Amino acid sequence: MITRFVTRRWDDVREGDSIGSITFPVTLRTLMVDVAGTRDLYPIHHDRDFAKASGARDIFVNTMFYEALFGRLATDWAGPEAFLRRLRFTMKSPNCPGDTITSRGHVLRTYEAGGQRLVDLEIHLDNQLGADATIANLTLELPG
Amino acid sequence: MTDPEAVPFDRLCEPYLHRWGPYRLTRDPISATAIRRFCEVAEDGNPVYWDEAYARTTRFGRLIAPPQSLFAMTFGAWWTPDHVRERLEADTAALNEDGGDGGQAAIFALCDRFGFVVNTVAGQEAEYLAPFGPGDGRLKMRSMVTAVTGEKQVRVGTGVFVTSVTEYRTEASDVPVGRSTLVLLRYRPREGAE
Repeated sequence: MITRFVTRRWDDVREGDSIGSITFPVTLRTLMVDVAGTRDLYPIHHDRDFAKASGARDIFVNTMFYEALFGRLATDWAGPEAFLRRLRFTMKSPNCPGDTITSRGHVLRTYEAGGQRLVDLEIHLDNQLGADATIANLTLELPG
Repeated sequence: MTDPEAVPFDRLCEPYLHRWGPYRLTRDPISATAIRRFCEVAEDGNPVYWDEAYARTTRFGRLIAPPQSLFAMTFGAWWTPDHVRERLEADTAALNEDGGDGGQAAIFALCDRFGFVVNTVAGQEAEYLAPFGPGDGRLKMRSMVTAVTGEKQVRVGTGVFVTSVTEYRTEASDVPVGRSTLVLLRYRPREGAE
């Protein structure tokens, strides 16, 4: 049986809608896959001595990990016909091996601009140490 | 002769702001393999990145890269043999026949001189202008620094925030596919930081 992919239509989205929640455990393996997939060899993401000498708690996932995760959360919710138009986020506290990320997000607004049907999302990543470790604002273009 | 330490850091950087640097070119064309390795990072199963036949039925009409992979797709290669590097340098030089060298290198050199040698990303914003994917060839990009702050005390030490804008285009069509703004904290770690 072929998996079916559901596309969310702009007409069906309402402000305040939840986009759901996932849990993502960060392990040493997460950091290795992160380096391999994003090509980021900056030692703060794989060298624990370097990270600690730089004032960090431990090695931590890089910026591109968050790009990957926020993009995934958006299209997991919106479906394969959605196109990410804008992504902005602030990293307030790092995620290191042993941490567990929990996501939550909702629709901020729906609007049309430049002939595009758009949805703004706000997504928060918390970890076991506290809320709002990373907060993102995204704009998605959806089919009508 | 003015003591350089006495001039505020942001003032020293001013002459180097708002100057486009040269185009850089990725070594390899966008490939399905690079796309899937990026998708593995956050376990993204979106079929427009994985399933060519399915992707053809969507609005994109083809397999595409996650727009949010733009930054990763343009990261420097880990190792390149001389003969390939020479060809890449020649291709890059051809793109930059009329261009200047921009201001970013001079600003990072100033950071190094002040001991702001560790860098961490403090903020990031990206705009995705068009889908891109296998068949679009390599990506080319150029950057400029748009703002530098004065010296600030931060949790991990003393540093400055450097804001850069980068523009990305496909080699095949010269179409802009994205624009990103990056705020980098360059800092001198606090003594005995742990």
